[in-house]
Amino acid sequence: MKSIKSVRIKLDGMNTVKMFLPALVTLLAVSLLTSFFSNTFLTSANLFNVINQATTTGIMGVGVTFIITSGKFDLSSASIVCLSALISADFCANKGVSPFVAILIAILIGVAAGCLNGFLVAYVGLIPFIATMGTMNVFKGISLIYSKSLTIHSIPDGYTVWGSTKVFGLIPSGILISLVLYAIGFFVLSKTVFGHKVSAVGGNSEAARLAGIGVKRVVMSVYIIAGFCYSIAGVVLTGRVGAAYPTAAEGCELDVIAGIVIGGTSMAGGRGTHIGTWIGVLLVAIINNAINLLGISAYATKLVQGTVILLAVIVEILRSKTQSKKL
Amino acid sequence: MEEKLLEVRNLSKRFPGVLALDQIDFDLYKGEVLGICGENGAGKSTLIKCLSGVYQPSGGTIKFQGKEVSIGNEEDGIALGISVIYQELSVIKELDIAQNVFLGRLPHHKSGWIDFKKLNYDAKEIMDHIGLNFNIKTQVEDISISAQQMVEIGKAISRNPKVLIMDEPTSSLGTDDIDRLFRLIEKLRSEGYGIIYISHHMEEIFRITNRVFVLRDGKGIATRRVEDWDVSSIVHAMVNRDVNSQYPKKSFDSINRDDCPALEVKGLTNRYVHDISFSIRKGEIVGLAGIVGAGRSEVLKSVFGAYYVNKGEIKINGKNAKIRHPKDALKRGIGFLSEDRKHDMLCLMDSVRINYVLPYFHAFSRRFIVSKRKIDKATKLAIERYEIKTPSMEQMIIQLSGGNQQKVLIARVTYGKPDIYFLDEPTRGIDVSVKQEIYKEIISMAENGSAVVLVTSELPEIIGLSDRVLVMRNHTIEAELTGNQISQEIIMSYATGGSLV
Repeated sequence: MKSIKSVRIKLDGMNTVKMFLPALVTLLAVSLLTSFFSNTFLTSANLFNVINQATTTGIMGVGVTFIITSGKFDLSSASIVCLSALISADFCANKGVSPFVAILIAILIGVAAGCLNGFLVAYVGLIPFIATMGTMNVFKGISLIYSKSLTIHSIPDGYTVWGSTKVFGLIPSGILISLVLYAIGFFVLSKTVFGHKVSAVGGNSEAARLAGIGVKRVVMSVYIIAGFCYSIAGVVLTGRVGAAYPTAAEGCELDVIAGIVIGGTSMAGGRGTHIGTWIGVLLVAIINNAINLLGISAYATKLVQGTVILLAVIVEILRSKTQSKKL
Repeated sequence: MEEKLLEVRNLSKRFPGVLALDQIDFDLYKGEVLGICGENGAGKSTLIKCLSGVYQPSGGTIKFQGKEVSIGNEEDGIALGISVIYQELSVIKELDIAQNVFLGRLPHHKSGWIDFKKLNYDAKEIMDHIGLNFNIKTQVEDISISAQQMVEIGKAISRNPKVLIMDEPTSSLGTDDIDRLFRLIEKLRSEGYGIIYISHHMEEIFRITNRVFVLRDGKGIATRRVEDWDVSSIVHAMVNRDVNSQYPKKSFDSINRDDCPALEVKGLTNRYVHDISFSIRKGEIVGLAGIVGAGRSEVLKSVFGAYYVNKGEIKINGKNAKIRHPKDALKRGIGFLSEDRKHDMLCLMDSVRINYVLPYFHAFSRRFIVSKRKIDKATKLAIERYEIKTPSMEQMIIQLSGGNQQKVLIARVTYGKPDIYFLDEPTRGIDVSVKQEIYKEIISMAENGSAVVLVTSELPEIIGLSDRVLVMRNHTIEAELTGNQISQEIIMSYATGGSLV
């Protein structure tokens, strides 16, 4: 009896590990390879730099992992990051609002934007891809109109501290914030009733509904959680850069999804892991860093990224094929 | 009635584990309508698919106009002269009538451009011939269902077939439309087509066919001229098999006649069902019989809160119950097992344990944190209790056999200790030994004082297990049968709308 039990526990741990293992192996391999060719790669300055650059997409990824796990999609993430950063930074820098209140405003904007996405997908019944493509442009438009496409400078320290301080003089605050959010995200998705419901909705939403799960409410919630994460990402990004501008985080929405797919979360929904997302986002950042360090043309970045995403997806398909072959 | 169009001998079709057609013999003559009758699953669809080239027979011969043929695919069948009009319309609504009639075979000039003149002329000729006088350029989505069906028939006829197979052609038609269809069938028959007409509706069979061929459990039972049949003899041929004692019996009369009914439904109406009223007592098993599409599953799903309900009352234990979402139904003690495991019940890529506890995350949690230990314990018990064959509870449920998946679901529904069970086709697609276990579970549900509403297409199951049977037809409850009224013949005759007496 006891041996059966221990085997079972091992298997359970294995399921999550299986999901992000390919990403982890790739991450180590890329790191190893890069360190052979570049002396600077394995310095702590460079590593912190890489991780720091990954914080924006990383924090976004906490929220997007919920969305993808519930079987939905979000193209508007980066535009929400930008919108919440821009308006809150403006309030703080130019309208005399205290940093604390400004950050609350950012969160409010993120949550409201998430509400809109969730409402359109869950209650109006739009396809997530289309709905969030629409809201992406709406939010971008608002950012441009609001800022008249100008950059907001001279943001008070009380605001930027969330992205720029080095805690213990070493670790950038953004990294700490992202780690805390990842820990919470991991816990919520894998341990709580809500997290189980999110996976069930992603696995089979009709089965979830007939099992008494309020599918619409769950979908609404994942978009709101994501909106919250985007606003935090916006504040951290603004802090790190020291300015807010209407093209901030542009293109990140796809980097995040790349990281999530690479990390082993199923695009079909039902199975998601924050650990995988963290590794995946980091991998994307390290590849960019390696391209820089190795002196490869920056133009090649997209090419390499695309190839890695395709490989990750192909690996997932091969994996699910071998699983169904066992039938 | 002299020239043989089709001569089918010893036709068999074997699927893994099932003999769907067992040595079928029949003929089809020029200028006749041959009716084919049989229960759900008797092999009618398989037979059509063998004739049209969708399936390859495992044995036997098909002769077409005296020559032995092998029909490799649907194009072969069409080229030979066999056209099928399926129950589900396959018109493309965005195209006009003419383009639908010649779908995939649009006439064209040598240059490759479509010859619209010829297309519209030919299509008009065909549609005039079958009596649909619409403008040929009307979009199909703008015409009625019955007219769409005429377009389907036009499509079939445009291929110059000799044999026309119609599978339940009236299922979406009203009375007037059926009259029109029958006039058309008469006309086609007089022009020398051989027509195979498949229907569950007795009055149609007796109105339109010349001969009737009855199938049961994949075997051809009898072919006779229609004058030599009557409703009861057809029904008898369709269902006559031993209802033996393979069904477990309750060890005592578990029906609680003193308390108010466990469930009372009055006048339930929505887009799927019409004016449904019934009640069920604690400890009672009520079978809901009817042909596929009669609305049985829809009744269960509507009461369960999965479908919007326009009108009607639901009382549970004598109290009015407002059920707007499945979670309301679960809270009030209704447990539901859907006929469609994969679509409605399972997260296929998830583990056995998650699928087992899907509706009960709250029950397995404390302060919103799910206790894996508690789930594991419960799942382990269920695996032992129901003898679920799985390497571990972490196994993805998709990798279990259908029977074991079903056991997981029976275990799931039972775990909630519902007062009322809704079981929709609980034994579909599982092998005989597991069926027996499921029968025993159903009996013990009733013995433990729960009410059970059982939907199944297998008549012997309904008869073997139910205390009372409701027969559905055309989205409403047609009859209530008790005691020795419960027989295959009586159920079937109500379900198909032929009257016995």
